[in-house]
Amino acid sequence: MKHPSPLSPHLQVYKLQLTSFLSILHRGTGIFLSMGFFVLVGWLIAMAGGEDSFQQYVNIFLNPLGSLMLVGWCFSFFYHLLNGIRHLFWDFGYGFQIKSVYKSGILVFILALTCTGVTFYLAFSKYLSLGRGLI
Amino acid sequence: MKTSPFRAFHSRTDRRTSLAKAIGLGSSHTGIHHWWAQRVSAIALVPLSLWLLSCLICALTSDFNAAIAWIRTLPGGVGLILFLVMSAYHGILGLQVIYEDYIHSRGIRLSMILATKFAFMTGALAGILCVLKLIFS
Repeated sequence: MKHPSPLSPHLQVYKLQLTSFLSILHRGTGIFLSMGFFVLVGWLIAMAGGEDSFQQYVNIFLNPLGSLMLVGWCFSFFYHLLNGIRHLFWDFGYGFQIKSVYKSGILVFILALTCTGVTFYLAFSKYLSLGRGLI
Repeated sequence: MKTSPFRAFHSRTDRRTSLAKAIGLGSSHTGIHHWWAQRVSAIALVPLSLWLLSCLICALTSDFNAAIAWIRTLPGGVGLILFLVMSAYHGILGLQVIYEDYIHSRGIRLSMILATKFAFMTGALAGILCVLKLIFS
């Protein structure tokens, strides 16, 4: 390498703490959401192809594994969003005390779980109110 | 001096001045733009993505006619295109940071960054064309 640039340390040499776990989770959910971007694009392509291709595409996500993926994307979305706001507070210089780092981390994680639950409650109650069977 | 990481500076045959050797080794001062772009796209995505999610729940994405009716409204179509552009941009920036942190080989790193940009731009373009087709057909 001509100009060696500094690289992040390998993850496996550190003991996992809440702070590092949440930091890794932020990146992990970011990668997972990147895949979700292409699922959204696929949804639009299927819709542009007409009702049959749309229904085929939607059916992929109405089986248990597909639904689990949707729950994963939903949690990833809320966690990445809320933790991103936590990052923005850090960028403005707030919340750097080790106590507040832990407090905001726990808050973000619990809020993300709650929002995921509420979203799926709303989505499925609407789905069931249309008189369809689940899955 | 054999073990010094700076042994290039102590080479006997290299007669360049210390300044000439140091130039180009530091920051190129272009990282600030990446940092800002990541924050600005993040802030734009906060209301945009929450709005999109609420629309997806209300329009019920597993119903063909309801989903199309939503995309044909002006806020639905425009908001969806905005979201595609912003999230593709934010995804490109975010994945680039991860590659730069963990991929040691310069060649693989650059290839991954370029492949990611190409994939996201293609995805966004395909999504936008589909939205336009649904609106105008």
